[in-house]
Amino acid sequence: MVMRRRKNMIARNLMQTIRRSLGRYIAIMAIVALGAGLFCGLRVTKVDMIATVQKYTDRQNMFDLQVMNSYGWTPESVEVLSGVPGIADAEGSISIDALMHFDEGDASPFKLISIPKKVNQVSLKAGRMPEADNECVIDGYFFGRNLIGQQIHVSRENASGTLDNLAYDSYTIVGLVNTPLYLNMQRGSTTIGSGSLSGFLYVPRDGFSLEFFTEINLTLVGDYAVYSEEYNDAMDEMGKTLESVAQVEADKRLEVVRTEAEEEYAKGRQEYLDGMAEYRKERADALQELAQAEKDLIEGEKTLEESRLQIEEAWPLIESGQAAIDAGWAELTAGEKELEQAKKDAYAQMDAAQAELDAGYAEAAPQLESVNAQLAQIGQVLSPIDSGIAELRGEIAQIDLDLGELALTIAGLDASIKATEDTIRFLELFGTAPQELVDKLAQLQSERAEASSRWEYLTTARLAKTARLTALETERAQAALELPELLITKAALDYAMEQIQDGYAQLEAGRAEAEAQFSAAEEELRAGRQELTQAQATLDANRFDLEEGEKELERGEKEIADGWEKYYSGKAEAEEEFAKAEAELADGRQELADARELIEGMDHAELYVLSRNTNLGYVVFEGDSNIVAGVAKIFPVFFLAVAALVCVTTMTRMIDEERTQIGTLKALGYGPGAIMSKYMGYSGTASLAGCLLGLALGLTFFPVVIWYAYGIMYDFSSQLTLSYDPFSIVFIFLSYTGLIEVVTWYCCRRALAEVPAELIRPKPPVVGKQIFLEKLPVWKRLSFLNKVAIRNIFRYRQRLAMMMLGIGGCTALLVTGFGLKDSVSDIVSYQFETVTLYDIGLTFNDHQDQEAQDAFREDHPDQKVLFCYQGGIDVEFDDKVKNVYFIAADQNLRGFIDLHLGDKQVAMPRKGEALISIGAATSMGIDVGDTVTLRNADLEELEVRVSGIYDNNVYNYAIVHCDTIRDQWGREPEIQSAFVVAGEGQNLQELGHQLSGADGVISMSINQDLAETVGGMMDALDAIILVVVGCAGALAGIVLYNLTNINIQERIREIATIKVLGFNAAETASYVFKENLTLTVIGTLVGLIGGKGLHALVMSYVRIDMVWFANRVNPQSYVLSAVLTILAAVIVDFIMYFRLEKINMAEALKSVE
Amino acid sequence: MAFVEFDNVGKTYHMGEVEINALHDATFTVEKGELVVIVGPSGAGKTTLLNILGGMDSLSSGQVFLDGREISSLSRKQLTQYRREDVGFVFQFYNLVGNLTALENVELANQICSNPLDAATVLRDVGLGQRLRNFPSQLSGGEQQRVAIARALAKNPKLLLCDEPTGALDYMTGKAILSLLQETGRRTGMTVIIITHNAALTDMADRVIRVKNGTVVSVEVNPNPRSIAEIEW
Repeated sequence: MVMRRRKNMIARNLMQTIRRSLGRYIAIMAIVALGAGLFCGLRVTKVDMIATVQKYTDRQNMFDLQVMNSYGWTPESVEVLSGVPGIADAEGSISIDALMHFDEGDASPFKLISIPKKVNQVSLKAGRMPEADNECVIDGYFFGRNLIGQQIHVSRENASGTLDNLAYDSYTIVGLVNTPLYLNMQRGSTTIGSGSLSGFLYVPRDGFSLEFFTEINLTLVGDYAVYSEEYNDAMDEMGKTLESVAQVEADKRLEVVRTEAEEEYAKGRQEYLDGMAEYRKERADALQELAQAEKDLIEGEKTLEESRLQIEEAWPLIESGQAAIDAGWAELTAGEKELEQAKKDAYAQMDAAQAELDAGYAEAAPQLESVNAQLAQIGQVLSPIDSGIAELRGEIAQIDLDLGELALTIAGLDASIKATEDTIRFLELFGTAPQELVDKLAQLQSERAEASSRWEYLTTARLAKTARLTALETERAQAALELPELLITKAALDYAMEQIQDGYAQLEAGRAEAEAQFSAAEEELRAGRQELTQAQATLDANRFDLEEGEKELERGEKEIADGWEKYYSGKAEAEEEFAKAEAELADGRQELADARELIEGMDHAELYVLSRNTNLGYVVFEGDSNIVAGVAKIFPVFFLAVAALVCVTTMTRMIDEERTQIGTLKALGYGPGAIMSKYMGYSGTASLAGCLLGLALGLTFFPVVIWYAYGIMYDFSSQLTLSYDPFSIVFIFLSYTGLIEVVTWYCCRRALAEVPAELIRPKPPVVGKQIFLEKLPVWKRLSFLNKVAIRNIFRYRQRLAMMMLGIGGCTALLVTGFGLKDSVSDIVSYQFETVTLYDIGLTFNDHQDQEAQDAFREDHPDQKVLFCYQGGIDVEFDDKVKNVYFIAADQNLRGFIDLHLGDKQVAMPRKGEALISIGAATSMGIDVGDTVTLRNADLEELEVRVSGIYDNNVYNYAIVHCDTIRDQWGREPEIQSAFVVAGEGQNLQELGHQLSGADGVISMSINQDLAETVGGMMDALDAIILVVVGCAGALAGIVLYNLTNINIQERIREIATIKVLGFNAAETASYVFKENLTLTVIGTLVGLIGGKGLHALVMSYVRIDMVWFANRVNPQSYVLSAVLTILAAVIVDFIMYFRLEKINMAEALKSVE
Repeated sequence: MAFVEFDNVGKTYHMGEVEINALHDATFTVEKGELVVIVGPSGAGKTTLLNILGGMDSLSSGQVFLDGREISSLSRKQLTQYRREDVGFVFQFYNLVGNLTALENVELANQICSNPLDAATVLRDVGLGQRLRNFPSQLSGGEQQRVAIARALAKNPKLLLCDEPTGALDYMTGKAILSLLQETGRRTGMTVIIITHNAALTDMADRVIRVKNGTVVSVEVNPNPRSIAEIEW
């Protein structure tokens, strides 16, 4: 009864206390909830993730073991293996990598897998499963429903072996599926195309024309927990058993393959020989044909040359003829013109003359008429006179005639007298003149005397007559006084008339003459024209003939040229054909040799037994779930510590406050247990409630958020399996409640040890003392309040510790959270700014030898180009396998991929060495100097010493020198990739487009695009970061509130005192919060340092297979963390400011502590 | 007008639904330079009276004047200023700031008021010249109370209010403290008001105010106050 009442009393007291100090109670509860929620939530998230995989792989009956050999398996082998004890299911499967393309777009590598019935069952995401053999279902992660109903085509670029193995050229996509073979989004590597698979396709068994299976998938009898030791052991053990059984089957298969190969070889050899013979014959024929063609062409050319010469000679003749005709025409035209002019002139002249004549005539005619009339009148008068005159004159004239005769006679007589006298005188000189002469002289002188008498008479007669004439003439002159003038006028007129008449006559004659002349000239011109026209016609006809000849010549030339072209192309073609045929033959030879070698090498079937631990998705998933577990490992410890400290502060304070009450109870006879039970109950219930709240949230909220984030990378057709982990729950309850109870007990113990009397007395205030800082000279310069604040900081060490842990922890968490974001989200830009320096990656359809490389470089002078081998490869080290990108190059990668580790450059590996990127090296535990095995998809192996590890964030890489491949694989590496660094300011998209059109380029990827893809994936981690930042904020809030709250209550008398002293509100707040803020600042600084460490620690747990996170915290993240922490402190202080305001001085000072 | 005037002052506390009438109809006056003892049994309302006078508490009715200024109508802010400049407090439990030395405790007070006395001098005046650098925990109760008195005096207030200043001290020490207060009042002419339940102390006062059941029952002026040394109890 007493006991019960006591209990009731204690319980009531407890309830009262809780109600009174609800803030503190909630603080404990919240910090516990936060810690418990984080711990359980994150732990269970991993468990949930694993459970989800378990469920999924069980449901799809994912393989436990897989056996492969180089020659495939027959159904009989499957039968044999399924009979091995301990094997539940065995199923043969075909998987072939092939280049596929959709109706549009480039070909990219896909893995084609036969649809399984038992092992590795696919789950249908959309559409339906294939019904016909040429239907398929496609990778549901990368492809969408829009593809259903479309065709996917087998690219012609595939190797012939691959084409032979597929029954159809195209498959119709009928659905989307997921497969347990690919748990995450990585599709792994391949030896074809770009080296990484774009996805998978499931095709019915008969969609392949392959007769054998490429692998056998097996499952074990019994249920095993994924990732468990037992499971791994079981797989290993069965793996060993299978090795011996399967080897026998593989060898059987080898024999069959060998026999087939021999047959094939024989057939091939015959084919080769036939081909050779045929080639030789065809070559001879072709050469002969070509020779004939050449001869014909040369002849044709000769003929043409002759024609050309003829034509060329004819042309000048035509030209000169034309010139002559043209000159003729010119002359003719001039003549015509001249004639025209002359005609015109002549007519004008004649017309003028006519006009003149007409005028003259018109003037003269009347005058003449009047003169004639006057003359007729005078004539009548003169006529008789004239006849008299005429008669006289006739007579005179007669006389004159007679006189004339007489004169002559006289002259004759005189002459004869003289001559006779001369002769006589002459003869007298000589004697005497003959008588006859003297007689004769005498007769002559007589006759002369008679003639003289007659002269005398006649002269007288004439004188008479002349006188009469003169009279008559005078008479006439008197009559004809006017006559001379008239006669003159008439004569003039007559002359004029005569002239005029002449003029007319002349004019007429001239006109007739002119016209005759003109018509003659015209006739002449017409004849000339006709002549010219005829000449032109003849010339034109000749010219046309020439032109025709030329055209014909041209046609002939073209024909010949065409003939040559045809001849050369035919020749080149023929040569090409020869070369091709020869190459084909050489290939055939090589193939035969290879086949021979292959057959020779068929002495052992290489067997591979792979466990589920070699499945990338399966292994990576565990790693990813470990990220969550990693975060789960660190934070909860931290939160547990903070929870303990919150509890210590709260309980210490509470016990201090209730000293008197404890003393009283003790004095009243309550046992320590009973008293303690109140405090244990207080913290215990807070802790229990916190645990429950935390579990409720943690078990649901965290897994869902994180699963959602990871869901971006994983694509099971499974819901997250929410579960709880009894161990964690028990652990949480035990750890939190236990720790808090221990802390409470520790706090109570001291108080309860004291005797009641001491308890009732107020607890002596904490001893004030000088601190070491006061010895420094700076101390004196500090303001009074600062001194107080600093001294207070060192006065309450417990609070100092808690402040450091709480505030520092908050800052550290924020730094970690933001740092995670820095390390994660900037990783992509970091990668592409400092490591992967090339802009574009190219894949070619075949090996690029030195010549092809040089040609490509020449074609793209603005870009820097590095050719290399690139593909996927498995790195094996210490039983761990990781698929990484593989680069083999002959030259240093500098400028394309920057090989460095921290600040140090890493050298390009030499022969027999390899570089491993830091992510792969770290996760596999590879150190410089270790030897690792690199195995490609054809199961060829390279043993290399790791010569260096280099910084690389996105994806994992192994880099070797080409010589390593030459040395260990004994062949040239297939240089099918190139890295391109764009020139300054080039548009990458344009360049990429241009490059993808270059010769032999089958795929092109722009790193910018890759950056975006990876960047998108990284967003998944934002959820986790948000959780961390949220928790940090909550932590800061709780701790600061709790500390400040307790600080104020603990120092309430001090605060009341200074208020009484007259400190105003601001001064009081400054007095109290100065130390609070100082502590916050110090705590923040500590947190910034601690945050770096915590971030590094968390990062060491956070691993994503594809991405290596560098431990990077940006300066602004530190600033932001500090600012947020201080902001939280300021907000809490601001809230507390009102608490200070409410302190009742009188009340506070009255009570005795 | 008297230096201090209480005019029908009443104070009612509300504790939930219960009303507690701590003070009613309290009326008295005090002259400047007087040493006043307010005496009464526990719970009579002495401390309430002092708190109101000291500007630490508001009043429900009536008026209070100090040196002609009405305290009862001051705002919160003005009350703070009033406490800062005009009033010095001495408490039963000293209320020293444990983390400050004796000197610093005094400085804490005098650095905020406009006309302070030198802290070290005041401490020397109260007989603690040798203990300036000691922390409260290193001082005896009497010494701590001297520090408290020095802290109140250093502000050079108009009024020194002491609430059971000897309540936590032994007889001899208590006497010494009272003697210090009496001497200080006489020396400086400061008005000192001491609250006590010890009726014996009335002899040392210039004026005795008796409080009972929440009201002032009598105000007596003692024409011949005795020195504390002469008083025994």
